[in-house]
Amino acid sequence: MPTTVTNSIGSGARDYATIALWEDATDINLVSADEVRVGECYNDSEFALGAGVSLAGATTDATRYRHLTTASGQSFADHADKLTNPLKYDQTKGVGLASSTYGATVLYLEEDYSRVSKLQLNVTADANIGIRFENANNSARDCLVDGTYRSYGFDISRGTCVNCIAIVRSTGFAVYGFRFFYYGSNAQKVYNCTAVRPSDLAGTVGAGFRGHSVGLTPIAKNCASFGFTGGAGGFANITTWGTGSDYNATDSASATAGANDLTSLTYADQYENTVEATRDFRVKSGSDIENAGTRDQTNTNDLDIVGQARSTTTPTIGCWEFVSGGGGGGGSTRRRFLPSLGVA
Amino acid sequence: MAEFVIRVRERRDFDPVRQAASLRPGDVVDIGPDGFDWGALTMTNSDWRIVKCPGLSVDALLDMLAVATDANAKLLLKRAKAFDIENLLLKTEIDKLGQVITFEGAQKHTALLALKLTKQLQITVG
Repeated sequence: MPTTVTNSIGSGARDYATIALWEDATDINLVSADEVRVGECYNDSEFALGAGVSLAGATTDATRYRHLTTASGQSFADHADKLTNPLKYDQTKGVGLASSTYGATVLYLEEDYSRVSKLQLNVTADANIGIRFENANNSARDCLVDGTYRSYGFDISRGTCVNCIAIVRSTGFAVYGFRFFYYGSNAQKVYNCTAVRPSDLAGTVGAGFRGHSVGLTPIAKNCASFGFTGGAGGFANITTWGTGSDYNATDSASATAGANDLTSLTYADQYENTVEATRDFRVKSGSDIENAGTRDQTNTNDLDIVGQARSTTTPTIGCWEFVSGGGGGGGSTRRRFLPSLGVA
Repeated sequence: MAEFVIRVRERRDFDPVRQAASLRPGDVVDIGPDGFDWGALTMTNSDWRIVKCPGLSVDALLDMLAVATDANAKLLLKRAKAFDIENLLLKTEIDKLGQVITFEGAQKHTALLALKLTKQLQITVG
């Protein structure tokens, strides 16, 4: 049984003041040490990452790896007001990582099995990438990338995203919330993820989820993509989506070709506020994506981005679970079946 | 107004293949402002030194954090530059074994900055 070694990271007299220090100190052979190394960030102040941090070099396997996350109560995902806080980058509500350095990849998961969770990123420079994944077992869970970055929120060569959101606010370039690239056959997996671009932004529009090259077959399941209709669209540049791609939703005319995809939805009907200045991408009551997904306990553990219990029958599409009256479970069948009855 | 943490020793069990991109002796781990609290474990890590340069701007050191990537933004090196720690200016201070090294005054800052080296990338084709 591997030993878990947890270190605190932050500017308030922690084990390490910065993520780069923790990363270099734990770049070791974790298999021979028989350890999991967990870096727990504290919201003492915003983490200025500049050129970014790469988790690369450590020897890892399925049970011995590095995990960068937040300490209990330090994330937007477990903030006391998490259910009412607008879903957008706000470092006052939880650990925030920021980079405005040209060309930087803020978090780069290069070694296999490394993972991140519960982090917010504010990414604001040209050619910036929020989180990049290089290996099959890299993963991000419950992460938020927001900003005027001009590349990609999540850049997935191989790896998995669960309950993540990319908020694309660039106006000058065709930016993608989630980009899939390089490797073929089901190498990129996104489950219950959301890509949005504020509805009032002018300028060039990119795509929510987009393939970089032909021949890729990424899997997108229970994912939402809104605000990209003037560009490449919600789900773009993939000829054949991976097996299991379904239950996705978008305001564009097409999604992943899953039998249960919802297309041509009205953006403003889905989220609390889609306008740049007051953006809030919590799902609102009466949205089309509420109760429109399919259960994926394996990947989501029936939880959403802030730890709310998902419906075990018809969860909400995207990273946020709409829970009526603070409850959970159950769920109406209105959106799934009324269209078939000819009711809009 | 800067100080920085520099790796001064090869990590234990260094693997040149698996850790080809990792920080090596002479690489800057991170940069902070004067008086930065680096954390308890930084103060006891014998692989590192804290170099204090009171009066030197952080901007003068930021290039030491730049990574080297290929055309597809794939990581090649976590640091594209390093300090020449074999130069006596640094080596003498590192060999004193104190955790904190101080370079005070514009003349010493200039001498320190002159020790920046750009790494040569070895590219294998085929």
